[in-house]
Amino acid sequence: MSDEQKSTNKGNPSLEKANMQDTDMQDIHAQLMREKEEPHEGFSPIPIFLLFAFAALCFWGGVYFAEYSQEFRWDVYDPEADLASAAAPRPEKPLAEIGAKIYRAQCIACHQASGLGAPGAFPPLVASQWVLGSEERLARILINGLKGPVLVNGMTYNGNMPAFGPEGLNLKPKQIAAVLSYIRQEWGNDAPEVSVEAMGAYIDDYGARGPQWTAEELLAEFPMEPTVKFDAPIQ
Amino acid sequence: MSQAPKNVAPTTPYSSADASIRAELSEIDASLRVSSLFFITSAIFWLMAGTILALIAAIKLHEPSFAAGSELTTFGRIRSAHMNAMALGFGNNMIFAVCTWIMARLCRTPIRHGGLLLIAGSFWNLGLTVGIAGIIKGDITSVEWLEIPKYATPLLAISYVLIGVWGIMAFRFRKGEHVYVSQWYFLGALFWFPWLYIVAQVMIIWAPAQGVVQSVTNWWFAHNYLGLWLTPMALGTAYYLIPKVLGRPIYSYYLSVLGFWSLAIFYNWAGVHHLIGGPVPVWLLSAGIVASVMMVIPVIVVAINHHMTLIGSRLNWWKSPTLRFVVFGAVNYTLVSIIGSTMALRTVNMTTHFTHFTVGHAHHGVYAFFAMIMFGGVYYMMPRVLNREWPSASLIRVHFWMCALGILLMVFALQICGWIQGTQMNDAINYPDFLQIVKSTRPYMIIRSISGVMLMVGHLAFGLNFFWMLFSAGAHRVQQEGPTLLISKKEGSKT
Amino acid sequence: MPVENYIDLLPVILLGIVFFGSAVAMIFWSARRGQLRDFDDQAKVIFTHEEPEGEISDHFPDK
Repeated sequence: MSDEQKSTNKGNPSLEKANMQDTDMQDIHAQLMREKEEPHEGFSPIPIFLLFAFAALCFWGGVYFAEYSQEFRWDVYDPEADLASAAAPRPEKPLAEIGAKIYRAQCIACHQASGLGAPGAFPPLVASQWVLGSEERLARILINGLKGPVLVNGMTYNGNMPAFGPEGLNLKPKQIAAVLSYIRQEWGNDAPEVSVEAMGAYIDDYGARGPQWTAEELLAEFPMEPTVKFDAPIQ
Repeated sequence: MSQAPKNVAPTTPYSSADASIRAELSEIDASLRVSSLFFITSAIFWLMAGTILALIAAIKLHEPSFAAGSELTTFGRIRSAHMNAMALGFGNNMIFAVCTWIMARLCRTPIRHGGLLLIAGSFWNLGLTVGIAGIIKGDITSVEWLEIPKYATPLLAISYVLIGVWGIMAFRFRKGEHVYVSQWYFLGALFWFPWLYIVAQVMIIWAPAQGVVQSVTNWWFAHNYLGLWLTPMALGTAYYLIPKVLGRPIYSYYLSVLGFWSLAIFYNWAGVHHLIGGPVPVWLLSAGIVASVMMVIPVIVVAINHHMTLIGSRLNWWKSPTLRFVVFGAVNYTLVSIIGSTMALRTVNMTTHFTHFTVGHAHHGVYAFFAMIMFGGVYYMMPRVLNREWPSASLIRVHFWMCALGILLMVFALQICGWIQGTQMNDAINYPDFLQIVKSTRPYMIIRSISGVMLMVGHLAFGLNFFWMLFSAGAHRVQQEGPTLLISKKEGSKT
Repeated sequence: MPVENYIDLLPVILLGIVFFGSAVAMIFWSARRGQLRDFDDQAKVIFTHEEPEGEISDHFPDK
């Protein structure tokens, strides 16, 4: 707009407006049209409360997972198991209990469930000094076996007890100790149990001996103890 | 009204009046005509078969002597046949129909290789028929969700591969740079499903892993069938239809992308929650529980998005047949997911596991969420694909009410029953007799059968409406050019 | 972990790596191609000339 035109039109608004030329109008429009749209983010971020909610969930998740993962062990199924106490050694079963199982597997055929054996064939274990007496004498019978005549509770048996040590069935010291402890405490018998260490020592000494023992050999080294009065009824 | 598009968002790629672009939507819809018809017809047949099988199984649970004459109709086989008919027959066919159509529209190009879709669909139906016949015959594999015998699964795998290839090609040759969130969901699902299926089939059926690993794989697969296949397909459909019908863009597109990725991260882990309490290393179960609860994040995101998009549109969503179904589905998505996350917590799980509660929950998800959204999708797409209106609005209403009320009744009854059952089973002092507990579930089983009948009525209404539309060629052809649906004549033509 | 033969796990692990890697690749791809900008405009991508923004595109006839 020229200065001349402006000055003659001041004070008169409608004339002022009317004086705007078409070309000027087009110039202004051209300017507006060239202008690009205002840049905008096009991105409304996540509402704050949602952010807090998610953070809280993640925190809960972390705590829960840490609490109930039991050290990522493959063999733990219980989320609340106390691993520390489980790692502590569990109380062992008493030897006699273990021995009972072994007796039922290995010895019951001859010595019977009652421990009475069969007269003339298999000696009894009930109230027998061979069982109640010397621990080592008994251990040796198990380790290497026994053959030849043997006097048990007034009767002679001439049989053949197989070996259960390294040269026979090769039961472990714990197993033989267990079964000996069992027979020494079952059916009214009352003798101290045989410890695993002692058994281990006996096997070390006699495991490689070879031939079965005879009654004379054993009695020579371990004389028979005097008979003890036995009160429990024999079943 | 016709001025409105031009003032809005100059960056919308389609605000120009370019005729070649204008023709595209109708062209795209027309190109899908044959395959959509094929898939929806198949889906309806499987829906009917699946509903009948479901009714038989449901009645057996309160009348054990019903249909008890033959080994072919024993509960185990009928129930498995029902599950596979519904999930693979109805579910997958609906997905192939609705989601290929949405994918084609969003890729803005008429589909190529429509024949591929037809071949894939035929293989699918053939494999499924052989498989379900096999189940009924007794060759069921006894692995849940993988019951179809070995001789039928390769057919399903091939068919699936063809559909997946089609999907990738449609995406690859799309016009338009933007990838809408629905496409993310569909492509994600197309990607996840073969992985799930192959690993599960190999590790359980073809070269079985030892012991508990099979169970873990089984439930990883079964849960992800729902979570990484059915759910993303339904969510993608809802994300497209809600804004589309209402004419308003989704409230926060950023949140929807966040929702997609958080679903991708968390959902995969959740499957082991089916094995809580079992002989599975406890850290794995805890990971599954945490993931199940973390799923609340994508669920809340979806709920906010849908809710805020709907707000302010007054009752326009109710007035749209499509959105009645879709919004019902979306609301139930939120509900079923929150219930599911709660069920994963060990203390709740102690009561709900191994009861009817879980059965109710499964139907809540697959039917009240997935199936209802798919129904909505069909109601939107078919008029556009066929260029005809739906013949009967009343049948649509019948369908909606019967199915909505039916499924809500079913879920309610089963979950109340299940909760009582679980509490009683955990109480050995007051309820020592297992058989007594079983007998006390009987009234709820009857209610469930009634709800099943309601669903059957709804399905019949749907099938009837569909075939009526299909076979009455000239009767309801849309007057205007281009896709519309049920716009009353008063509104006149749209441009 | 007691596994008879770790080699048996290899196919599953490889498949898992492939899928995980592709997921990571997808995020990078989408970032590079600008999918993660302009979210508000991206939301409008579903509207076209025929079914524009602002118009209800589906309702029962008498309503």
